[in-house]
Amino acid sequence: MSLNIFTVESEIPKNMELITYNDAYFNLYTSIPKSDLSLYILREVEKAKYSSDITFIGRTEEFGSLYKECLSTGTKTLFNIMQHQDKCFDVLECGTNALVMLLYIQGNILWREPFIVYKTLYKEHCDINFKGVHYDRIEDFVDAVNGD
Amino acid sequence: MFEMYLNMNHLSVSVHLQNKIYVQMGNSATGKTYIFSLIKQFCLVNNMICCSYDYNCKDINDIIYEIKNKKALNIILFDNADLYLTQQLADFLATLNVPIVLNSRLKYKFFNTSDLICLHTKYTDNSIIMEDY
Repeated sequence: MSLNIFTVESEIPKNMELITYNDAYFNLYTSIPKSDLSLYILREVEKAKYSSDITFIGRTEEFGSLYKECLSTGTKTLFNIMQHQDKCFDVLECGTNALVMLLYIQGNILWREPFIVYKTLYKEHCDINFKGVHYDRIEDFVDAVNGD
Repeated sequence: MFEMYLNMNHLSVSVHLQNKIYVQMGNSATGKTYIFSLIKQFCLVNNMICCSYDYNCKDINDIIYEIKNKKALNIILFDNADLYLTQQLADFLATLNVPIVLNSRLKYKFFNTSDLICLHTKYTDNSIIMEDY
C-alpha cells in the first residue's frame, strides 16, 4: 500500500473514516509497533527507545518505562497511520520532525498545508500518491510538495 | 506575568511568561504538553488559577464563559488548539491581559501576528526550558 495524501476533506473516499483526535484514538486503539521503522521513529522524533507494545523509555531515562499515552501527538499520529490503513488521519498536529517521517510510512492522511523540512534520508525511495501523481523517489515528492 | 522554576528529581523546569499571547509550534516531542501538565499542577499546589483546555474541548462558548468568570487568572493554556480554536475565541483572548499559551501549528493565524510571540520549548536530558524567541 502507498501513502495516500488528501489535502481537503472532500478528497477522502466516502467509505473512509477521518480521524482528527489522534491522541484519543491512539490511546484507545493503537499500540507501539516493534519494527525497524517504528524504532527509527521513536529514536528520531521522541529520542526514545522501545520497551514494549504499551511502554517506552523516554529521553529522561531515570523516569523508567513510560506508558504509551506519554508519547507526543506527532508520534501517536504516525503509529495510527501505520496501524489503521483503512482510515484517514489528520496530520494537523504533527511537528516538523514527525512530518518528515511521513515519507517512510503507508496509509491515508489529510494534510491541509503540505510542506516538508527535509533533513536526513532514511531511504531514497517512497510510495506516495499526491494530487493524482505517484512518487517513488523521495526527492521528487519533496520538490512537488514544497512547490519547487 | 507567570514564572515557574522547578527542580524535581532528574529534571529542572524553567518557565517565564509575560502577559502576552504565545504560540508553540515546531517539532513534536519537545515537551509542550508535558510542561502544560506541570504548569497545571504547579498552579494547583500554589493557589494560582490556571484555565487549561485540550482536545476534549467541544464548546467555545463554555470556554469563554469560564474564563470570563475567573476573578484572578494567572495563566491560560490551550493544548491541541488547532482542533477547536475559532476566530471568535481568538478575538476574545486578544482582549485579555494574562499569559496565554497555545500549542498550534495552523489556527494561530486567527490572531493578529503582531500580537503573538513564538515560544520554544527545549527538552534536553535533564531540563525543560520554555522561552520566547
